[in-house]
Amino acid sequence: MENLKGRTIDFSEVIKNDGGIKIVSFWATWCKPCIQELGYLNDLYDELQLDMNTTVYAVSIDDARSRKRILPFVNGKSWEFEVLIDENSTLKRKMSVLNIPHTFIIDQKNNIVYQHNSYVPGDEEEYFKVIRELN
Amino acid sequence: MLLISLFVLKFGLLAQDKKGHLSGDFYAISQYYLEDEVIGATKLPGGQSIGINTALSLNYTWNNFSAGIRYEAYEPPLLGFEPALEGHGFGYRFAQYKYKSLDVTVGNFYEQFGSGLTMRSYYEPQLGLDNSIDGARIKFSPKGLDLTLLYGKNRKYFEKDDSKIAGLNLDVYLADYLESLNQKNLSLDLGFSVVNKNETDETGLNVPASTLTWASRIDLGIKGFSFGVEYASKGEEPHSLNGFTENPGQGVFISAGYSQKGFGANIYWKFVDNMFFRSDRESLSNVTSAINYLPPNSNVNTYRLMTLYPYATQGNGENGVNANLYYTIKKDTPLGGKYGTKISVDLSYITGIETTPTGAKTYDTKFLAFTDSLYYGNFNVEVTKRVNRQLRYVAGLGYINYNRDIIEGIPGSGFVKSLTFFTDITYRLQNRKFVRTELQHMSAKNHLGNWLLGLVEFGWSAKWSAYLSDEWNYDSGTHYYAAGMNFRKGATLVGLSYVRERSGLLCVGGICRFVPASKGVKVELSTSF
Repeated sequence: MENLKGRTIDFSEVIKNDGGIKIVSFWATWCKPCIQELGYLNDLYDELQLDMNTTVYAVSIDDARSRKRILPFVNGKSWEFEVLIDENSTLKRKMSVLNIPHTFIIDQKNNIVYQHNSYVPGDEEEYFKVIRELN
Repeated sequence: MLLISLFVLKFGLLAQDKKGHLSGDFYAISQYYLEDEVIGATKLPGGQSIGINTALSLNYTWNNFSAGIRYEAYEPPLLGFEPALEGHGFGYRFAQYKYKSLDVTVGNFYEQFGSGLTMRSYYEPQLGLDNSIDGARIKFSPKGLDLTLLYGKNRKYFEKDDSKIAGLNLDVYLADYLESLNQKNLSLDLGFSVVNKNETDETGLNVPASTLTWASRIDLGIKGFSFGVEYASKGEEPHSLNGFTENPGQGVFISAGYSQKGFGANIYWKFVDNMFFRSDRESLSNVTSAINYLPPNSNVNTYRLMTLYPYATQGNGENGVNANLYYTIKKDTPLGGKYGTKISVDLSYITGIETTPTGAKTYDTKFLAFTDSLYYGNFNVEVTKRVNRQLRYVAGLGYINYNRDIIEGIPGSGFVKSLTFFTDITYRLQNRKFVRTELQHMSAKNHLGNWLLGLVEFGWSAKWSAYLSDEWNYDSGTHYYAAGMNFRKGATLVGLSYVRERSGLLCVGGICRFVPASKGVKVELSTSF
């Protein structure tokens, strides 16, 4: 997969070098519930980062149609996350993700402790509950 | 690397895991079809009442080795999918070994070179599209470059197309070699792809067996700016979708963008001329036998009424621009409110290309020229605002000018000009309860006329929600309604609904399939483990 500069990166390295808790959320610029979910997480990002030692990795599956839009979109929305690009859905398949949004919570030792498919308002409260138990 | 990623992700420090690990996913969508003369809903083409699409995928990883399979069944496929998909079997299986910067795969694999102009194999179950390549692939990624070599045949339904595909792709990241670029925070990437298709000529038309397609590209990034150009050229390839022309093909993508926190803008220009690259020259299907991918240069409109007029890529010739603007009005200002107000503006303008015949099967093209023949125009403005902890809304409008002659291939049907207003309001209540409503109105000249849509969704716990919607064509007085219930737990989703749906084009990434009107009971299940 790639970072926002178009560089191929190794997701395992990204995760490995992050000793904290990780939220990994698969999304796309055309996915309304994904944008709603990430919008709420962005509003709470100070709390997640500073109080709960948690980084959000938003993995976009936008293909060639919209991938050039990702960076302007993310900046335009003032999102603060780490944004990664999985243009041909390779990581999505590897992580057995069928539909987006699909969100994983990964603990400090890189174990997946929680995963969730789809989004309705309030789901982020569940993520906070899981993260509080890990802290 | 991804293999290792998964391993690490799923199982922690995998070196300690001697048995490896199994993961997977499963989905099933089934519908019981009822007849309805008013909307023209029928049973399946074979006369059956029940259709089902389902697939089970399994991935196994053990140290540097991984393997996977996907078993699929379409018994028979749902309405709107190609009936030839009917059957069941292993649609996909692979084995992969990765050691340091080397990655070898045998079996089925998905791959994309650049933006896909020369080749893209991918899986899109919503379209019934899977053009995975069955063969072998080697990737080599030392510092500063990615090299890919592949050879194989395209999947078609549960078989393969006969043509043999061989490809090479190279990406070089100069900032890895030139420290001066790095110091200036400048990235400069170069890419080159070449793909050859060899297909035995069984048409008797004396067409060339081999077609070579190549592309080169450059991407530049400095601070908030980005700029990219990709040019592709395709050799002579007469096939059913291009009218067996003897012309070569060409394509150009140019993109430029700028962004900083709170503001982003992007413009994308795309010109293509005879760029459908096919693994079966006689196939008329637009969801099978594609070697490359031509992304549509239009917005993805997701509000239901606007999906009535989507754009489908015209790979034989189109020229278009697409511009997007994203802006956040700062929080703690009168217009920004407590959380900031997000605004997006999108514009798409796509025309045909200018060609002059030079023979029975050849022509000249005016490179990069727009024409008076409009294919598609779209302008959207959307505002998203979170007012407080409880209330969030999206409101906007979209204008579409849609050339039905070209996009649906129905000569004489003319243009459909439509203007749509939409609102999408979410209100949170106590204890995980919420209400979401959508209200949309489309006024349209020609075709089906005017529409009003209302939707109410109610969630009463973390696991349960239900919805009711009505899409009402008030010129004809026809109601298209849906009522459904969803259950969600972790990575499992179960949905049950009763629907009366209009016909229309279902498009993913500019590739569209026509879905006839239908009525009936739908059951959906998906899970990952």
